[in-house]
Amino acid sequence: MEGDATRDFDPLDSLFFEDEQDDVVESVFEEGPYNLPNPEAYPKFLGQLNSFANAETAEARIEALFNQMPTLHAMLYSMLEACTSPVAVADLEAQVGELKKHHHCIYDPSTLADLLERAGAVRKTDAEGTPLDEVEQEPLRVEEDGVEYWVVAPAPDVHWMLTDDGRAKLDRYHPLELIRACVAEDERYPEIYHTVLRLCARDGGSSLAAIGDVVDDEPVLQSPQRFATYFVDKLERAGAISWNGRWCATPAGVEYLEGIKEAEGSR
Amino acid sequence: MSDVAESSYGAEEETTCAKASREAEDEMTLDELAAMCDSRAATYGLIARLYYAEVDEALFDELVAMRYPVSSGNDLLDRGYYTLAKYLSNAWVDPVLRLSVDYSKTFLGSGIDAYSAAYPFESVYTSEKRLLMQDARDEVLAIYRSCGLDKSASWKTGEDHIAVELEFMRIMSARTAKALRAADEDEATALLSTQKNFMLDHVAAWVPVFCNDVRRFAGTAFYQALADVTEGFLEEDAALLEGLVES
Repeated sequence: MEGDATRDFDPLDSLFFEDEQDDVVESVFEEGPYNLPNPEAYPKFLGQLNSFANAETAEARIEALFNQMPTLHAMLYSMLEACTSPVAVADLEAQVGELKKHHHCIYDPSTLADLLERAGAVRKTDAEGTPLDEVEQEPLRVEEDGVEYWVVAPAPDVHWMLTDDGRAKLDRYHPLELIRACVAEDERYPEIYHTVLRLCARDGGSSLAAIGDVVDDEPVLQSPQRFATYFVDKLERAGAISWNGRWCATPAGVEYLEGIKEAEGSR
Repeated sequence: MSDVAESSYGAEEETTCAKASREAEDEMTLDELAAMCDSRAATYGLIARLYYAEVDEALFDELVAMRYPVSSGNDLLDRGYYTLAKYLSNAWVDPVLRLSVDYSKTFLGSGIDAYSAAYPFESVYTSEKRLLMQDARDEVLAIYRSCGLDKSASWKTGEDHIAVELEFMRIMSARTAKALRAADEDEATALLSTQKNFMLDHVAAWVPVFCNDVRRFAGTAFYQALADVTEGFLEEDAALLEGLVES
């Protein structure tokens, strides 16, 4: 070896960062006044993780809840849809249970309903839709052999129903527009989206492997290389398809396909 | 209505806990005393069960079917019974799940200090550093063993858990009732004396402070009410034991 190659070698050199003011990231541990953590340095992304219940209005709480549960939109919207008229607690839970069969969801149906209630999207009502959320029952006072007792008052028949804010949220949900936006956003691949959707609209839906067999070799998907999962994922997020043991088109997805069929026919 | 409901929350308890302490010096027949001890045992059993684990469906149904005395002679008990009945009257949607959540929050907690929940162990409340398995545990274990009792194999935590201490009182009350029915007054007196000492040295020494913590951490009126019922019942029972052993 020529000379001493290690003489000027500093093993920490590659780990050294210039301590310029611009690069300094404020830490939450930086002390503020009176040695308290500096709230100004609180990372913004953590702020977004605060409970949805902190928002002041029901509309903001509902938005925050949906933003914080991106994988459960279909389930939450289907719950809202079920609550357009009073739905018995057990019926709603059975419906969510059905949806959960093919959805990895750690939330209990009643917990989801509870979250929607806390956000202000649904409320407890009786079978006629009269709100029960401000009703507070007193226990019954009975007398037996000269001794008075409290007896638990019978529970009313509880239903869930949309609030005005919940209805507004549901009214703003237009899966057809989301599907159109999803396809328009990827302007290179409209045909691929349509093909995938048609495969899923077949009776019994389609498996990912079957979709892949059809689209993965398409020239347009070679550079950059994309696979069926990319389109399946985006269509699912847009509400065009759902997983029911196989990938199946939703009613909105079918409606979208009928729309493009009509458009093609009129040309 | 279940036996527990009948005996612990029915007319019997109203007459036993509140009145018997005042009437302990008065003449009571052995049968009346035995019935009173059965009633105490049932109440201890129920309260111990509520601290032992989360409320399940069967227990919830039992609680709903019970009658709760309006006027027991103890303000805490009265408040606890009323709050309990009111909570159950308004628990319409998945009450068992909600109570399970609150049980975890109140008694298990989550945190790195010893002040994040109402930890249901005597050692926590009687040791300097709020640690588990301290002297209190050793003492109560020795008392259980001296009475011929040992923990079951399924019990994996400290023997100074409130559920175990109350269960001990339940067993002692039931034994007292049995001794009274067999007209074995010496045995009954010895058992009552053991209960009185255990109450003074252990249960009454920390449970009131623990109940304050339960009120602080519980999110539902149910466990707030349980704290009231526990403290109220123990107040009455301590007075009753005092009166019985002295007389």
